[in-house]
Amino acid sequence: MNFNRDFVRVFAVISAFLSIVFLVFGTRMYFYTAMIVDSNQAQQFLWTQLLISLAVSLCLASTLYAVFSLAIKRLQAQKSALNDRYTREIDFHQTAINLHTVLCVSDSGGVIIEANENFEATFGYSQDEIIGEHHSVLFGEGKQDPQHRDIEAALEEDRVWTGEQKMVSKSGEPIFVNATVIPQFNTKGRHTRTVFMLTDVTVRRTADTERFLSTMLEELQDEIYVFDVDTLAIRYLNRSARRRCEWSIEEARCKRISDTAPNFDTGLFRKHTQPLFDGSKKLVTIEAMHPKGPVEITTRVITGMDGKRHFLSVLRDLSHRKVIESAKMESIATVSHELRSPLTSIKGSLRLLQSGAVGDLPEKAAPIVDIAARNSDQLLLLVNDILDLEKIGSGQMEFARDKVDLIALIDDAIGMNLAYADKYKVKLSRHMPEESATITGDYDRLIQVMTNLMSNAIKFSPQNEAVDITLERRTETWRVRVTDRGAGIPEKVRSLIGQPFSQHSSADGKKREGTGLGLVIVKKILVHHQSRLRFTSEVGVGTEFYFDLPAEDARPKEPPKVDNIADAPSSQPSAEITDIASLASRKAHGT
Amino acid sequence: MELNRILHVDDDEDIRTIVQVALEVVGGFELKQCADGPSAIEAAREFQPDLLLLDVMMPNMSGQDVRAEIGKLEGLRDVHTIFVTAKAEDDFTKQLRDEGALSVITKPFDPMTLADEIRGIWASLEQANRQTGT
Repeated sequence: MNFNRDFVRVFAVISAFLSIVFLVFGTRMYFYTAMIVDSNQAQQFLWTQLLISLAVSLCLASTLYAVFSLAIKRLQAQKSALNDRYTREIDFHQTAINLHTVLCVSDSGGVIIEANENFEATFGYSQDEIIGEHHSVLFGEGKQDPQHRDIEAALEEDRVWTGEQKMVSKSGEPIFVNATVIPQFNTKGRHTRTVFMLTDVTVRRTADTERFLSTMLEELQDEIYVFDVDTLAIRYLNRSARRRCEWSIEEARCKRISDTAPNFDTGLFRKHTQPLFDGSKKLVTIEAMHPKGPVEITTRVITGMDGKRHFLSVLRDLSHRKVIESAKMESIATVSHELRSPLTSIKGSLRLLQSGAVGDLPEKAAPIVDIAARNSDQLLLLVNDILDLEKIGSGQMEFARDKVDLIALIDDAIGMNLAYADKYKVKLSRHMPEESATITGDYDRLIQVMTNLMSNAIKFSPQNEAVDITLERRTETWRVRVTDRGAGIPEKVRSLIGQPFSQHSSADGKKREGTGLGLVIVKKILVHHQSRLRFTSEVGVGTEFYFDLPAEDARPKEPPKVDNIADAPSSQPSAEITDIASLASRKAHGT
Repeated sequence: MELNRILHVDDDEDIRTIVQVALEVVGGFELKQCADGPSAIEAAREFQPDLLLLDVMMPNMSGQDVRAEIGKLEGLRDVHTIFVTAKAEDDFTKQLRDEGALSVITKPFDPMTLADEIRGIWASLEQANRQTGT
């Protein structure tokens, strides 16, 4: 374009010059020659020359005009195109500002005279409501608001104020805005209007909060697992959870919750979480064994923003707690051990008094001594049970792996409990198979199991009733059943069976002697025999405790490894013998 | 050889009293009691017991230490020992037996049957000796 313009300019100058030269030359020739040469012919020739000069000049001038007007036309067209674009852009800017910013204008006195649609939407005022108000109403503390005063001060100095500030909507909600406050002046330099250009950043603030929360979630020591209710596909794992699974964020996204632990039993998981769906529980908790240590998992169902339901599991590492618990148990054991010495003296003294070896007691003193003796017996049982529990828990108790004749063992146990049964006027009725029953295990510990189960059954039996001790062959196991005809275990306390010190009030409401540790010990001993204690009970009919021991003739060659940690003492042992304990032990033993 | 003289060592005075009744009054043995190792070693020289009944957990000298020291005395090298302990771990009992203890009685014991229990242990020892011809 520059080249064109220069070319036109040069062309115009040359043409003008030439046409002037031609014209001057023609005119001079015509007039001067006439003075020198007086001939018609010459006159004729000069006339012709003059005409040609005129014609050439005319031609040049008209070409010049044509070229110029063309060039000017083009320039004008360009200019108007440019103008159009400027106008459009300005329009666009205004629209954009209108669309994206919250705009309001006040007069020099601070009274609002204009507000756009965004303003209405953001602050909740209609135009009618806000126009005529002082702009201080937009601030939390009105004219006293420090930020408002700051802005006022800027305006007085004719400065533009920009920054983030907190304003309030009509309903009093806080609104965070990025604000630019521009004072406008008239031609005389007087402040006439103030324009508030605001960008609502409340959402960004909220997003910041969300980001903050998710960072916290990410940094949490407890592990967070979020996964789909139906497909169990993982939606989110926080950092600790990913560390346990050794997955990256991307890897975690393509996994299922069942990939988080080997031997994850989906069926059991569904059963465990069932109460979340029938509305009986808001959250369910389970203790389980992960290859990396004991854990406690609390699961609930959450509904996402998209309306989809997810499981939210929080997993807590119990290794530390187990250490504390075992330390606690150890100190209890130490105390218990110390208790045995004074108990020896107390029991011994009472026994000597009772026996009359040191002289006869007065008639009224005898029953009192009996009470003392009975309670010291009880105390000793308790101390022994605590010591046993601690020994099993800390792995100090060794379990023999001998071939044991189960029938002989049960008969021995019955023999040991006959006196106890007589005391309660209960019969022990044995039902043994014809064939021999051999298992691998620890004779003494299994005697302890049988004694505990039998003494329980005897305690809870009505007088003159029988406790049945049954041994029967299952496919690969021997099942031992101890059945009483007592009052039964009420439904609501069934989940407490097998928890320490939880001797329940039976259906008949009578209190029985016992330490409340017997079944805990039984459970733990059975775990070491790859078995577990189960029971059925019907109120008014009776209770049956039973367990299965792998029959020697059906044993696999390699016995499953027993992991001690699963049996470590716990303040919250598995609630249900049949369900949760099984998950924990399954996870622990990989069976 | 009939069991008659028993030396009992226990630091707990109450237990000593109970054992005294259990073995002297109920059992009819000739009993000497000491509260600690040094006095027991001193007494053993004079008393020449047939059997030592030793508490294991005692301050300064344990039951095993007392047994070893008394074993150095003249005529008491092979004196039989029964330990009394509240430490009921099976492997500890086994360890004591391996070290030559005749038996291990765990606390708490029944004072009315203690004498019979000791007589039973002694009887089975006599029987074993007869069988091996010593």
